Amino acid sequence: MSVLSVKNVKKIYQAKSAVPSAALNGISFEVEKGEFVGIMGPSGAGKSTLLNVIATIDTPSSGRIVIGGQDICGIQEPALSDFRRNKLGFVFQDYNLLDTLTLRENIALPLILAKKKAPEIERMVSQVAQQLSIETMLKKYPCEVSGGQRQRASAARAIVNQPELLMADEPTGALDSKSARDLMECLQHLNEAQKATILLVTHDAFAASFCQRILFIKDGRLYRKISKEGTRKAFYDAIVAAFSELGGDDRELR
Amino acid sequence: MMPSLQLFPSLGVTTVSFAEIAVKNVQKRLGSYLAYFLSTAFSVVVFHLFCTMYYNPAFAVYRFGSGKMNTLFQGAAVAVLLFATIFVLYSGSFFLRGRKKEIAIYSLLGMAKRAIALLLFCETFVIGMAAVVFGIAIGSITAQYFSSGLMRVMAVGTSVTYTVSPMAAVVTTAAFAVLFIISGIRAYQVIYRYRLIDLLSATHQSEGIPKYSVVGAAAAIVFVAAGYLAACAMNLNQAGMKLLLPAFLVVVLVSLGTYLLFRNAVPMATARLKRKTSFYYQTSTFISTSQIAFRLKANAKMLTLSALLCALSITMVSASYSLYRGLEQSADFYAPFSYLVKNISEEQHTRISQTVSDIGEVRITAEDTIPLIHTQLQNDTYGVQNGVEEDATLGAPVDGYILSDSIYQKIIADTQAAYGKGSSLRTDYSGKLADQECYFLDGNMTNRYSAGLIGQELTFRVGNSTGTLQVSGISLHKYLGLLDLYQCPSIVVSDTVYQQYMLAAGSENIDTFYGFMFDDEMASAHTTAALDGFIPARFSDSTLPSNLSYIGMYQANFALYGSYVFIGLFLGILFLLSMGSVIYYKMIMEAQEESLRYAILRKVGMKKQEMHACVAKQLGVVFGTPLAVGLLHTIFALATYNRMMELMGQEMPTFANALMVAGLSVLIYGVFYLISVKKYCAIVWKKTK
Ligand SMILES: Nc1ncnc2c1ncn2[C@@H]1O[C@H](COP(=O)(O)OP(=O)(O)O)[C@@H](O)[C@H]1O
Ligand SMILES: [Mg+2]
Repeated sequence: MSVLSVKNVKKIYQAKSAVPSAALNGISFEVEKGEFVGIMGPSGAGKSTLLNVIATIDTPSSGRIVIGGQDICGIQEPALSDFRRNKLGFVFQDYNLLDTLTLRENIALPLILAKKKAPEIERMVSQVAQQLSIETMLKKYPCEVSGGQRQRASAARAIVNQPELLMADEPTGALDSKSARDLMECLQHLNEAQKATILLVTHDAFAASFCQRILFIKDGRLYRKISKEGTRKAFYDAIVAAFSELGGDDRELR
Repeated sequence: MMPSLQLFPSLGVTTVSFAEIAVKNVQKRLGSYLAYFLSTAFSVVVFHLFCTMYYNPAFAVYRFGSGKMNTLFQGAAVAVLLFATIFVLYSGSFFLRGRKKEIAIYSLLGMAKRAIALLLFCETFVIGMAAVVFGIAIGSITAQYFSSGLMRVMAVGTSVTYTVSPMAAVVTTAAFAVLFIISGIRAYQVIYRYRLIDLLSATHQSEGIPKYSVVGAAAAIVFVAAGYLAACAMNLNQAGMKLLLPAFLVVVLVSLGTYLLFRNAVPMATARLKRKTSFYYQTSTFISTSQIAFRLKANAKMLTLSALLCALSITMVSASYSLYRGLEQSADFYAPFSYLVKNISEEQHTRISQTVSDIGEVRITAEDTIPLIHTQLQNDTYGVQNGVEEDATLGAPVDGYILSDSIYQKIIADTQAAYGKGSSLRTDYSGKLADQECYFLDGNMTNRYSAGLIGQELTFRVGNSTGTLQVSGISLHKYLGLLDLYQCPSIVVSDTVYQQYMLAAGSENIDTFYGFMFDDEMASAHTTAALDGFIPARFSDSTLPSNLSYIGMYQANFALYGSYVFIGLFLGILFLLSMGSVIYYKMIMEAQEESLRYAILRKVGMKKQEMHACVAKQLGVVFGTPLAVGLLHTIFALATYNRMMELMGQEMPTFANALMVAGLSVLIYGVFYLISVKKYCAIVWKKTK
């Protein structure tokens, strides 16, 4: 059964002075339960826009998006907030952690919003913190930990309420390679051990090589799909090849 | 590699790019420049409004003298200066904080520290001075409306002329120039003192719960308590430095205590709260607590400032208001009749009625002819006091008056004296006097000597005959007003007894008063003046009207105390405005910053109502704590004020009035809070959408 189904989604930006431009130009794909899917494409391809409309942060101009059997385009506030809180989890490139809260409090946030009891909150936070190996950092504020730790806290917050779909927009974008690898290994572990469904946007081929399947988009259209066969190294090479064929600037890859 | 290095190789070239950079800056960050400009302009308006009053020739006496009013006046000047300083420095540093990253980028690009510093200094100074010009213009216009508005609510007799003197503008400009230089120097320091890394991470700096000390929290309570005690124990029967120094001490203690309270006790309470997870882990509590805790350190000064301003404004307004009400009441107290004359001829009497109807301004609704018999009263426990402090000589015969039951009843009915005890404006007389009884109307201000008279025998003498009567009731009622009955008790006797002694007394022992009641005594100014024109003057004191009239006493009172009321109301409203500006500025600035956090919360799935609840709680604390602390200060300030006024011989129901004013202020404050929540939500909502 597919967790996510995107059908012919378009997003047109209508700037005041300029001509309307399509950031998404009729994209369709499906993600099955337990899959780890990557989305790649050159800068400006519409990756973030795609993720935002799936994440209900933005609304598509046309098309259908179904998550866990529910058409998200028809949901209104405040049910939309509930849906987002209960079914979805996000990791953002710039972490989006609240600087006013400790890591523990940041991770606890979705649970608090869901009005869970204090002991349960404590238990669940400790559990995800362990999975992402940031247990020792929980008392610190975001500005007191490294970027990799911040991003892992952000991932912990995204999965703490066991969402149907975990989305990440260039989570390794601001990380060094060691932290990037740690984070990707954590996500891979989540996917394998917890059967978490993950949708990852990146233009980092190394990060993408942790996925099972990659969707390439360009100019708001689905351009190509490749799946992992064999080792991660082989997959990495396939991704790099596909990416240069796509016309992406090689220098964008690491 | 860095082309920008060549952009600023020397100061000579930089000055050219200055203008460009500055203009671009202003265009890009119009919002924060505007906020800075407006907030500065607002404090200029407040300061200038105060200066226009301070340098108003009408109040010149208060600036240099050494009376109590002067002390208040000079204290207010210090408070306004303090307000302006804190506010300008706060908005300056807030402005700077938002720009640290920008500064860091210039620095990274190779712009010399000196050049950046100069850029910032010039910017602050230029915006500041523009705000001064703007503020003074607005202030001058406002002053006119403000004072004419105040004059309208003030009584007819108030003799305050309001002029805007150029001195006010000069002083305002000078004061703010100094403030901007200080603010500019602080900006300079930021550039020189900080390392690049600090600047780059400035906006992301988390403070967490600021470090607080239990000692600090204890000191806060000790300071505030000491301030309160000192205020209660202070000898107010002083003037000049002897009053100013202790008052200053009290202010310093309370201000310092308040600051320490916000700096230590509040973070301490927050930390406690955070430990109670079952309570803390509730959406709105969680968010609002953490947001407040996050900037408690930066907030401490602002919260202190608003608590003090809150206390100042409520105190000022309620003190002035109770003085105002007191003045109105005291007109009643001096002149229960609209017009009262003594021992006039029959011809003058008819001329009064004639004049009143000729002018046609008011109508006579009642007229009392009151022949009072001179008498000496004696009782071993009674005497009259000279002032409130001195003890009376007991048992000596006291000069007084005798009046009849029917006359007294008519006076009560005509002057609408209230029923009650223990007040110069009330009586509990019910008539039904037997021939051997009398009702005693005390000539003192308190019933200290008359309370024990009920049931006792009172000896009286009229001419050569004496008699005794039993006191059936007592009152402090001054049925002709204070001036004619000061230290002069009266007894009310039955009509038969009265007639009997009237005959015995002979005309030389009788004073006949004529009391007139007008239908609208407040509108009787012309009539009264015309009457005073032919009725011989009874008083020659310049502060009193020549004959007793309600309107005359009312105007005389306001001529004496009106400027106090005016200054008090003016300052009170001014401080209320200042507090409004402080909170408004805080709110706008924080809403801008906070909107980023709320955007994250929205992405995590927070609902609109939940966000609303968080904002309501968060602002509730920001508004509520200074209000609570401010009100506490107000209680003690008013108690002290009340004590001072009692010493000045005013009896005023300060607390009843203060309660009303405080209630009104809380109401206004509440409305302001609701508007703020709405506005805050709108800002946050716009950014998160
Ligand atoms: N708010 C917006 N208004 C107008 N155009 C936008 C907006 N956001 C993104 N775009 C445009 O949509 C296209 C896709 O952007 P985005 O999804 O952010 O690309 P990326 O794949 O790099 O994440 C870009 O051309 C961008 O300029
Ligand atoms: Mg993007």
